[in-house]
Amino acid sequence: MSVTKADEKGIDHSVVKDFKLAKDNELRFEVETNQRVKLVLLDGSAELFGTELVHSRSYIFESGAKIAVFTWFGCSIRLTGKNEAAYVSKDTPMIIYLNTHAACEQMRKTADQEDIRGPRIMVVGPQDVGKSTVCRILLNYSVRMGRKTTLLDLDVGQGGVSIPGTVGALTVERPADPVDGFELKVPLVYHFGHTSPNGNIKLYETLISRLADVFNAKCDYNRLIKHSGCVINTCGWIKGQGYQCLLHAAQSFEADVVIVLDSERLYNDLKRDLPDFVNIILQPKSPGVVERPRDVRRDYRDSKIKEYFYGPRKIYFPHAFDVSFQDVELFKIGAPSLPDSCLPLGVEQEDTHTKLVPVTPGRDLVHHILSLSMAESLDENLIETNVAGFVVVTNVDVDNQVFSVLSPAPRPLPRRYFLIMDTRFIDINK
Amino acid sequence: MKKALDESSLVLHDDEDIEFAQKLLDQRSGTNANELPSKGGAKLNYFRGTPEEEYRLEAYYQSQCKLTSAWKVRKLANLGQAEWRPELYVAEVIKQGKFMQTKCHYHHKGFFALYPEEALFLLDVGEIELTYKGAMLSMQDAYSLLLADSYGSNLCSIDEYLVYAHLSRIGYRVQRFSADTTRSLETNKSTNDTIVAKHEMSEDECTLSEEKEVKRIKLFSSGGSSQLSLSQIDYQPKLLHREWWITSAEDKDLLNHISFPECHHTPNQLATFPNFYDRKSNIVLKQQSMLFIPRQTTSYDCEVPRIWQERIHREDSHVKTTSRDDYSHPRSIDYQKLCRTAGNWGHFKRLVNEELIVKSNEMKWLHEIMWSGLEKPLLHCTDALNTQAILDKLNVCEATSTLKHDRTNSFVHTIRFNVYQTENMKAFRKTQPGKPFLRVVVTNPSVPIPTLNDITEIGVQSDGVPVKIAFVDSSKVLFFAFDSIQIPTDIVLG
Repeated sequence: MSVTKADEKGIDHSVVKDFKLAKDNELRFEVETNQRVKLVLLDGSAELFGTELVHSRSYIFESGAKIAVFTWFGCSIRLTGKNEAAYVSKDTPMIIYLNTHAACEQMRKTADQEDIRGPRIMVVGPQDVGKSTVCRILLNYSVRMGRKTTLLDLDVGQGGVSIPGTVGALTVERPADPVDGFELKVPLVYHFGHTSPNGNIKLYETLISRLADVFNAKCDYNRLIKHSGCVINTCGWIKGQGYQCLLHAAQSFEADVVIVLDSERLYNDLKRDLPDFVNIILQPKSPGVVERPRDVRRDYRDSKIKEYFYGPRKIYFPHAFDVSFQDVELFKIGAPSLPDSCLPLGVEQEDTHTKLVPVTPGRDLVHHILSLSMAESLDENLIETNVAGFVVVTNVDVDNQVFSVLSPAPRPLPRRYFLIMDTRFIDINK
Repeated sequence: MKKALDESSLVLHDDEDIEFAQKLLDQRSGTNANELPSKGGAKLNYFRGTPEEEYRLEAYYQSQCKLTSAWKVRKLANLGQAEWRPELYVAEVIKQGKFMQTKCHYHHKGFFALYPEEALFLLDVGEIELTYKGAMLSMQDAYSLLLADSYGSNLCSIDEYLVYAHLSRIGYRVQRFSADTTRSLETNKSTNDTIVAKHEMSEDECTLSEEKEVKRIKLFSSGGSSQLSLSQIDYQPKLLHREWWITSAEDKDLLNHISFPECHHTPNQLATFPNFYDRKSNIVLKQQSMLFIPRQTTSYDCEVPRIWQERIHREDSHVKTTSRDDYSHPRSIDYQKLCRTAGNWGHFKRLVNEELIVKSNEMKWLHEIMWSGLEKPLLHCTDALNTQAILDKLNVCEATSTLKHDRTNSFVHTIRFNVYQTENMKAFRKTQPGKPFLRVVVTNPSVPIPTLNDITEIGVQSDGVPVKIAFVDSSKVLFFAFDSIQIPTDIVLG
């Protein structure tokens, strides 16, 4: 895909810098806000988080991107545009990640030979250690070996597979595009509704179990996927209830390898609480990892949602239309629970968190994101049915009983059951 | 002088008997002849038949017999006499005595009459003699004749008599209830017509009406059809993870057999996971077989991993003993033991399921023990459908709606007695006693707790005078009151 001159607006052509990288070096830079940076590989070979860079193509990164380009053999790179702190670093743990990949690949080879399940790798660690990046690297390497590894993304705050507030699965068949990330042709997405598992722990664990079942079923169905195994990205909450969610995930997915990034405490806890046959390894985080404060995360979430509707670089045009109240049914997951003092001993208050509560549309629905469930009737378990897509409510007209939505596909809506998410998106066309 | 025994009466005229009686009088003058032997201690709800209990009962009976068979002396001059008239339910006073000041009233048929409780009380303390059709009545006869089974307006039941006797012994002046405060009751008390007939409550046991019977069975027995037997309750352990995708035993075995690179020693180069946990040993990242790594990458021996170890965030990693916050799996199984013993995931999950079954059986067994003894918990966890179900089970207080006013069925509580202050507090004029300082309602354990409607009715009837409820339980009288007012709480019954 060649890039025309028209796409290069926003790049400050006056700032051009060339970098020469020796073996095992990494070029790291961040793109400033409202700027874009163009990267061209002049000479040698380099990869960006596991994806090889190509000579003939110039890669344009949007504002806020944090990029690290690594080279095994040496290369030279030209950067055009304003960027924050572009520097070349000599210590990177890439060799560690590569060796990890090699060990996993050996497990896959054994799985091939003996027709058993491939390795299931779970990446855990506190926030801002580069879990998503490590997952991406491992996936890219495995794809380059011809495997069809699945990415199971349990990080509801960051949304690797779909918008924030969901968990999902994606079978990776091609390396990630350096700019756009993985090709999200057919992801399997489940509605969660909050940007932290704290919003509804019971639902989170239910969805984890559901994903595990679905993935196991897929493995039964397709041998290549079964032998390739999967990579599970978890969210950064590792204390208290978050830790229990990790254990639940490890047990549901039957993880074979758990990579703990940068937390010795977590490593010890997992060593104690997971069975001995699970390989738990502790690895350092890359020094290039940048910590993101809360507002940056929030902006990132917003941009992910925007990217869902408008596409990267605003190449899509979403549809806006009205939906009448009769055509759809809205639900919320989670009912208010009775206080424990009302219940006698032995009765547990479990079910209200995963209870479906019908909601009548009202003014407070504006700017909320709704997920359209694939369920065709209420007999199916709406909570455990995957999502067809998302719409955002732009306006509610109670008098006429309609609400207006912004949707990626034109009307009519393919299904009629919506689940309300906590996240809101205000559509400002910049 | 006369001696009176409780079974028959003897008249003795001998001189030595007279001396004996005199001696007795002198002896007993110090003691308070009105005292009854106390029934001390906690009440046992059931009889085990142990020798210790037998002994105590025996001792009590002995003391009772001793007391009742003791000689009693009454001076004839003070002794009044009354004839029991069953058709009128009063005792006609034949010979008046000191008791006339406080007790009797003028009957409309033209004589002085005593109510049955008054008559019985006077007989009890030895102030009168009762005759029936000319024959002298003993205590036993008097009790059975005078006290009625049912609760009628004229009649006096054993409960009411006990309350009357109790209060009178203390010193209060007790009269039958009349709302009229200007003069005392001369005719028989007029009461509400809708009193529900109750069964007699004898001193030793309660015979219950049918509905009460059913309620008790529901509460205390284990085999009733209204309760779920434990075998019906499904204690299926919730499987953590579904295993439906494992179809047959062979598959399970296959899946279980996952070999790890560290386990087998192949002549090929082994790809091992770089693990940076161990600070002491240097982990050398070996060159991997090129088969495993993608093109355009290279791996090599890396002998400087120490910097990476130092880069790992090492908090104070003293491994804490498991606290509840760190690891609180919903069911209290010893997961860590299973973690150490399982060989692979399938094995682990099987062990977990086994443990769950063991635990749930334990719970079942505990539940069985809990529900099989003589004393059972009041509520079963499956009874908690809504607040109303729980309250019905507890059965202390019926839910009343203040707007619904049911006059027809629940009005079993009526005021029976007016109580006036003792002689020391206020002089008592029999015919015009004034406003009583207390009114008493008599009830027993077979009657349900008064509902809100009952209490309001009683309050209205009583016209400002406080009302106490005398609760007679196996001839022991307890007083309860609804005096202190608390703001009522509305409970949602759904």
